[in-house]
Amino acid sequence: MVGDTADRSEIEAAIRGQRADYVEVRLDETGTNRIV
Amino acid sequence: MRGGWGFVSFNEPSELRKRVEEAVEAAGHVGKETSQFAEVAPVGDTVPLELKNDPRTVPLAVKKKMLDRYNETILSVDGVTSTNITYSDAHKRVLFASSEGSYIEQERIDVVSRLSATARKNGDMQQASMSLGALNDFSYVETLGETARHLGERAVELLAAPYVEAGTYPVVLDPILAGVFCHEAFGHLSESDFVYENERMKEIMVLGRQFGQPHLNIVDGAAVPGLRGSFRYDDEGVPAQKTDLIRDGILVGRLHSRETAGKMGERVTGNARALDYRFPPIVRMTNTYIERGEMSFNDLIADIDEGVYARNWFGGTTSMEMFTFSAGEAYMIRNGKVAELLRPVKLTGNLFTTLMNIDALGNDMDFNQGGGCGKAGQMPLPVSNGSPHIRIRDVVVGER
Repeated sequence: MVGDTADRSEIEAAIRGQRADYVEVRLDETGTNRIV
Repeated sequence: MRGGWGFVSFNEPSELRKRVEEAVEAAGHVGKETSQFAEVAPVGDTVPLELKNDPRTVPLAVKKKMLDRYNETILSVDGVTSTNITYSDAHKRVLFASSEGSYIEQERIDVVSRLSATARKNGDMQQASMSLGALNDFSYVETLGETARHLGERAVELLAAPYVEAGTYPVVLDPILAGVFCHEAFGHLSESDFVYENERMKEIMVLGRQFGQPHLNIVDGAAVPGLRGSFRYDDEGVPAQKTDLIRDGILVGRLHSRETAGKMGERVTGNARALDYRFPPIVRMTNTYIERGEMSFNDLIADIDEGVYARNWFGGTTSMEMFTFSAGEAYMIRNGKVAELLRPVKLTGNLFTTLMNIDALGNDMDFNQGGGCGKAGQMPLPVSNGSPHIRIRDVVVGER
């Protein structure tokens, strides 16, 4: 959902197999209206 | 890795694998101990929007026209010389994935606004303002006409209002100012990264210590629905909870990320939050509030011969256990009745003395949902804070 180029399988593949105790990924997509 | 963190933010999703490797490499350079995380079961979930009134369905031109009308309402009050109105709505979708198998998608819309009126006369200037906010709901923005008029009228009334005579008074705080006090003066001291890294705070914030009278209960929790600090999972994928901080006057809990909970041997509370993808999650509040008591407002003020009724918030600072808050609106209390409007006042004190001096709690409840919380450069984070009306003995009150 967040970004057409990063689907679940790609995200999980990027995390998998890293030599680390723990890895987390957050992807944001924001749409804003602002009136001042 | 080995207790060290590596963090990378980026804007190109196709670079994900490379950026993850950079973060892992950075963690390897700084890690010098053992990684400690409180155990949490992996979660797979999709949290859709729980919309009440969707601001995305209202054209920007219609929003602008609505705000123009409020602006004109404020300016129509005789004596008002300038106004300031800001509005924003932000629809955010967040995906969280972890090497432990969590995969969570969440959506939210924050709708925030601030209105202020300034009045001038003979070189004197007074201001009245209000910050408002809501989660997933545009409705309140459609009904701000009376609020706008009231702000204009109050700014003008303040030009003729007297200064408070500085001194120590019994003070009644409205739910909004009491909520801000609860968040700023107490809530931040409950954030465990702050406690864990500060020897003096470890000595002060001892679980089991009495912080208030037995009627005092303070809670934080994103699991309380429909408020700006509400969510289903925090930014470490921990399910939202409701955490008792003070129960029956005793300090019983504090707010944790998985790391602070692991290091301090306490349970996770779901309080790791990141402002957005550019920041790592840190320990933050969600919805922080004083639970309601049993007294009516009239009973709260009935025994006060001379005191101050402080409403709404303007600003404030805290330094460890000391605080200073500016009220948005204040009145004298005389002989058990709300009396004359005062020019802006500030309230100063020691948090722990002040908590002990809360001697009565109202039977009402309201939440401040405007603005946002700032910490470590991450601002404004959506939070709420609330309270019933509260009565505090012996508060130092001065002019702002």
